[in-house]
Amino acid sequence: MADHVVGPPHEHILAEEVSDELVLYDPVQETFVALNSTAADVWRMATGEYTVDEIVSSLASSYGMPDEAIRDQVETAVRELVEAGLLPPEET
Amino acid sequence: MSPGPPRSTDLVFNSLGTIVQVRSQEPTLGELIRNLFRHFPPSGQSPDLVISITHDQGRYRIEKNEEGIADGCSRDKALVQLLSIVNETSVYGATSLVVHAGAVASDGEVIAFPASAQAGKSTLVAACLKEGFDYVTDEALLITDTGRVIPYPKAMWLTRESRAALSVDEARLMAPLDDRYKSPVLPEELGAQVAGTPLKMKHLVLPERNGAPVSLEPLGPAFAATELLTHAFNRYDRPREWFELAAGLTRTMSAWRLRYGEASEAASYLRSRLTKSPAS
Repeated sequence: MADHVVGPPHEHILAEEVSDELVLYDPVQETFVALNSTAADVWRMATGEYTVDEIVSSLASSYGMPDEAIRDQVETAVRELVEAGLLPPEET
Repeated sequence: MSPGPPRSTDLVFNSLGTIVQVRSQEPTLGELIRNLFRHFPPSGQSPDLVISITHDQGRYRIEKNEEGIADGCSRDKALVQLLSIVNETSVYGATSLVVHAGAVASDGEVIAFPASAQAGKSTLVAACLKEGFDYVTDEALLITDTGRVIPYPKAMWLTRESRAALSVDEARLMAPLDDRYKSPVLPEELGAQVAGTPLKMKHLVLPERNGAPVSLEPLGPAFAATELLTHAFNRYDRPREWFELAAGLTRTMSAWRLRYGEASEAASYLRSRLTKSPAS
């Protein structure tokens, strides 16, 4: 998963910032999804420009933590956003 | 002086923007109907919904906009049908965001309990009224585009068990039904009043009756927004607007998960934790 380029999100997804969290609405699937602050940070970096590794490094740096301390959270967030149909799957 | 002929009922009121007219020839039933809708503002407009209840030898017929809905039913079933039709038409006809939730207020600040059917909303609301809160609704929380809450003061539906647990005086109920049905209970029968406006959302409380000691766990705003939307009856009518409204509301309100065993205990806890006015 480390080399997986994350995003960009499907264009129809709506996002609203609430505090440091995000709430997403997918009008196609008619689903609402809440993202905690870490998942919200992953979403904000899911622009199609960064790999999972790059997101891990960037967020770890901004949180003042080692990469490995947040890798699981980032990978889980990416996996769940893809499974929810909010981000495109990894290209194989 | 003789009492004169029995009066028929012809009641017109505004229920969440739907103008409802209820006609009944039977004086006793008419009195019950007037009591049950006493908190809805009277209207002089043409009705959107006309419900007629006629009876013959103790059996009742209900018509909705001149179309037969039920025939040969008991008085209590007719009353249940009437309340159900008015509720459904009002809720689905409303143009505000309508969330499946009970709600109470204190000092103009609303505590809402979004939950599915049979989750205990009405009992929790009734317990809160006995704790000194004002009544907003036991069914449908209406939130306008500007974030204001509109009361929907329909009669609460309470089971015999709930009424007993809350020490409701059965002998003084204005519209007691037989044991097959829950009975409608008005806020004043619990010593409470309907909340005055303006009302603003203050707390979103997700009730979880699991027998645990009463507690409140804070929830994140994004989760609160999704809970509001997933419990909205009309979430797909204006999805983008409701999405923005729900997100906006969570910026100014708090969200909690309430775990509890007994509704009365939970109500007392909410009073002490979430309001500025502890019960006297």
